[in-house]
Amino acid sequence: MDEFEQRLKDLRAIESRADHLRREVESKLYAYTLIPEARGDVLGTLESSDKVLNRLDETLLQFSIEIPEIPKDLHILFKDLSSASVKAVEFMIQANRAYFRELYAVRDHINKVIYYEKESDKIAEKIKRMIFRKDIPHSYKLQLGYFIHHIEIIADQAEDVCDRLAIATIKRYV
Amino acid sequence: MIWFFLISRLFLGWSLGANDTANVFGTAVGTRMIKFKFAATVVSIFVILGAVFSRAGTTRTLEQLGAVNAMGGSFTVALCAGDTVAWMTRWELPVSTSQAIVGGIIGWNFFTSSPTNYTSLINIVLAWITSPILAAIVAIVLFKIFKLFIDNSRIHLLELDMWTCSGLILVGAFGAYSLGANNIANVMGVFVSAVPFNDIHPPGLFTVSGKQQLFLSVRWR
Repeated sequence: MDEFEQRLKDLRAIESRADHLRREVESKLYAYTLIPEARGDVLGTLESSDKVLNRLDETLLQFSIEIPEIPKDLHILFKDLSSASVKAVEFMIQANRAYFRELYAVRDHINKVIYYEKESDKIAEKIKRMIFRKDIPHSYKLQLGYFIHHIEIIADQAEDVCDRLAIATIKRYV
Repeated sequence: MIWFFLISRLFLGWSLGANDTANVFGTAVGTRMIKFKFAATVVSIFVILGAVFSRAGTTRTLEQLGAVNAMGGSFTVALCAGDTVAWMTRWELPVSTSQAIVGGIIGWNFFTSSPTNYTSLINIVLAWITSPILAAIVAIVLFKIFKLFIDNSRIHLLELDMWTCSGLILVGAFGAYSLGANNIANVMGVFVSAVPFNDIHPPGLFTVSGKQQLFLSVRWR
């Protein structure tokens, strides 16, 4: 549990630094009239990427506050769901990086994000179905469902960033 | 009186600057890569350099088209061309100073029943037709080469932005230099045949001809 709290603390520090960096990038892009054609897209992608980080922070915070008790038979599925969402975020970051240096590679990374987002949807649905067929209190089912939704939505937001990035990439190609 | 007649070339030069600066830096300023003040400064410097170091430029071609051999005529032709370019600029129409001055010279030839050198005119018109075609071909080729290079390189977007900005300044400066080199004749060419200055012979030194004095007077005034 201590390790979890330490990770949450680290994540919050990263999130705070990311907010600071985003504001700095925004002001520098305008102050020095950098990349005028792609400025709007870059800022938009930065903001939506920052939201993914916020969502990660919120999710871990909820785990820290509520300390949900996850049934043992769902442990693996919960890990799979977390793993799929994290993979989606990792490929989102790679797609973001590729946009700046390797434009041709963006599409590959985006396809991976889409794949992991779909995986997370499937796993989330499977867990929810299993939970709501269990003989446990309804409030407990809702609490678990709420946590599944929280993890699943991380991948959804990573996909939203990539949708934006895909259009920005096309614009740079034209 | 001579200096009054020479005023119209200043007006033509002013119209030229107002209209043609957009040709040089229009796209760079339009895409907000370069600020207008900076573009105007670069153009001002390099147009002067082009005019000073290009020698007579295309003066001989304009002289061949038709000699405007009176100061009043030169004044009128330059004024007409300047007026046309100024109005076109006011209506936000990019226009060629060369076309305006050539039109002015032909008009003067008709008015004074002077002969127009049609060979020279055909050469000039051919240049007008070929230059946009040539520019388009060069633009396509350069675009393809740069696109191929950028697509296959791993230049960061911000570095690419820096290179693009530097390239625009460099090309703009080169364009401004060419503008000055090419258009000095448009501004001065019509006055050459009616040179109002006598040769100056500083004792024991070189000779400064009337034409040289004319070009020096527009460059250094």
